[in-house]
Amino acid sequence: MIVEYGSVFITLAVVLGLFMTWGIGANDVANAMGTSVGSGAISVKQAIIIAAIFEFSGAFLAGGHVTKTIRKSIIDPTPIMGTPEILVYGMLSALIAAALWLTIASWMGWPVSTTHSIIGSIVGFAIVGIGVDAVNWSKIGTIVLSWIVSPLVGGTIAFLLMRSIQKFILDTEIPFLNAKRYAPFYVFLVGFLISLVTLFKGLKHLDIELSIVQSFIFAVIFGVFVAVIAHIIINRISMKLGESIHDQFNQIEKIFGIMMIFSASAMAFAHGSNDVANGIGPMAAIVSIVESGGEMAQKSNLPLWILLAGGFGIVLGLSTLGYRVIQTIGKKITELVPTRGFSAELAAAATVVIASRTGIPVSTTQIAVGAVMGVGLARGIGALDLRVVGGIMMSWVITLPVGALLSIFFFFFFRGVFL
Amino acid sequence: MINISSIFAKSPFKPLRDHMDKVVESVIPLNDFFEALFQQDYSKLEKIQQQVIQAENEADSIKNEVRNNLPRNIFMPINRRDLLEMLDMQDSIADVAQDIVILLNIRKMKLPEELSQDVIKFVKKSQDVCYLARGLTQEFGDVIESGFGRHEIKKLLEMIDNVSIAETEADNLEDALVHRLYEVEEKMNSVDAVFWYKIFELIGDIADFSKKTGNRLRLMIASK
Repeated sequence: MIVEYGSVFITLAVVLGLFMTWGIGANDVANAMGTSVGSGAISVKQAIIIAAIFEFSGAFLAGGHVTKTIRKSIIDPTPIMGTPEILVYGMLSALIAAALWLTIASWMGWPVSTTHSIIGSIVGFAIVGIGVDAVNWSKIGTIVLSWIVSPLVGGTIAFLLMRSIQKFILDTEIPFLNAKRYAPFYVFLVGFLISLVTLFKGLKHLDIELSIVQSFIFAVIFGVFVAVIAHIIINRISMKLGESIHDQFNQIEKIFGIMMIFSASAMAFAHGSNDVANGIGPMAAIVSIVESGGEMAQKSNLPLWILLAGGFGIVLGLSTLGYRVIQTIGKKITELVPTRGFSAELAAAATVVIASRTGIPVSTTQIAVGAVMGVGLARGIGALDLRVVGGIMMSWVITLPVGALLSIFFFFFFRGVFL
Repeated sequence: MINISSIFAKSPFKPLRDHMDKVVESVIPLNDFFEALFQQDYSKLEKIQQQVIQAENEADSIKNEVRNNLPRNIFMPINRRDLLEMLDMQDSIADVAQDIVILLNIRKMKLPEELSQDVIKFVKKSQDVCYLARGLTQEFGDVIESGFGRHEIKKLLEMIDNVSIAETEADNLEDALVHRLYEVEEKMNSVDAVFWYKIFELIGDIADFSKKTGNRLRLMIASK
């Protein structure tokens, strides 16, 4: 069965996986980069370039952990060891179900998370195709809990960041000079955090393994490196002596506009590392079963080309449709100034990258929303619409069962076609 | 897809400032209006009335827009009710300016010449209080930008105190004028006299509502 239709399965898996990553690139990236464009820190073109580079690096360098979770840890295929094709049908169904649901939802403008769709779909076919016990419920519990916790964590970090910017820079006698003084430190934080999380035991798939100390040293070096770059660029922004506070605030926003290039890069990296798995996780599962000739080798490693393909899919989505989506979203977010955007973006990036390092598939968009709320709580934003939070809750309640039902439907469809 | 942009509602602070700018526009021609009245340049009265009414209308539409964009589930760094009340206070200034020009354009009343210079002085003082209040809305922008930092709040509170002080000065001018009007009212058409008292009150209201704008702002930055 597996051998007979092997190339068909792989082709289907790759096409669907690419479609999913394409969708992630086209839609989700806009949510990750929208705050940067909306606050006027970078242009749409710059956003696309940054996103392309860092989404790809994120997917390639750090996308393996979440992919592994989606591919292996959610369901236990032991009961179907003899009939591995069931898992292949299931993962194909999950991909189609999630892709279809996401397409419908974006068409209707509903707030739906890619991560929730794919998890719901996988759980759906597993219950019906393998059995309720096949679902690793404790893992699912952790994941669902993370969906509640991660926006709160993102919000808390954003709140603290915003407060620190207020305390050290905005609410001082010499805000402009303080902005110049502390800006490199914040940029150091961006580089240090992201690289530490990525490096520490994270590059096994490239045959690079660093100890804690080594990772730490590299992260510090990288952090200092980006801080120095930021320092050099920011130093070019100057202001006359005795400038009014009002003008100083304008100049400070220019400084943070530059800093947002770094936080946007971090956000793109984090997004790539977390969200690529939604597309390539099921794809990787199918490829590994087919390539091993039907053996469900739970130990098999993730082939590098799959990560590359995922990164490629995201960049493809970005360059074909993402441009327009970012433009639309950016135009709507004009209420966010760079000091706020930087706080929200760095907080979201840190939360996402830590979650994805531990292999937990989180929703980047929901964390970004949480981070924006955190900045709002620090009295940083003019007006936030709390109804959106309700919309997110609703999309939760709907997406999981719909994804599950759709994937059950496709599961029976595939079983019928190939039997 | 959840669109991150949907969480951002339209900030009311820029429109609040725009509204105050329109209000000031309706107050600016008041001294010219009284000069024209005393010089019996009635075509000018008509022209200024149109100007004031237009500014008041524009202020009104900004006010309505702010209100429409502020449903209850909007989260802001300030209390929603304080904001709406401040908006109302600002709007009252333009309403009063409109009342003054409409009333005087209908009742083109004369005033004993010895009072006219003092009236102009009083009008200018009231205008100044209103201009000071406009300065508050601009400084408020910096308070927001600083994330309600203590330094900017302190500066704003001092400015609010200055508006109150200026309003007291306008009050004193009003009292003096009322006294002087009382001294000469017997020589005047009695209906005119009654209406002049009314006009003085309205001119005083410009300063008074400007002060109240400041007080609402004080509540807004103090509470929460």
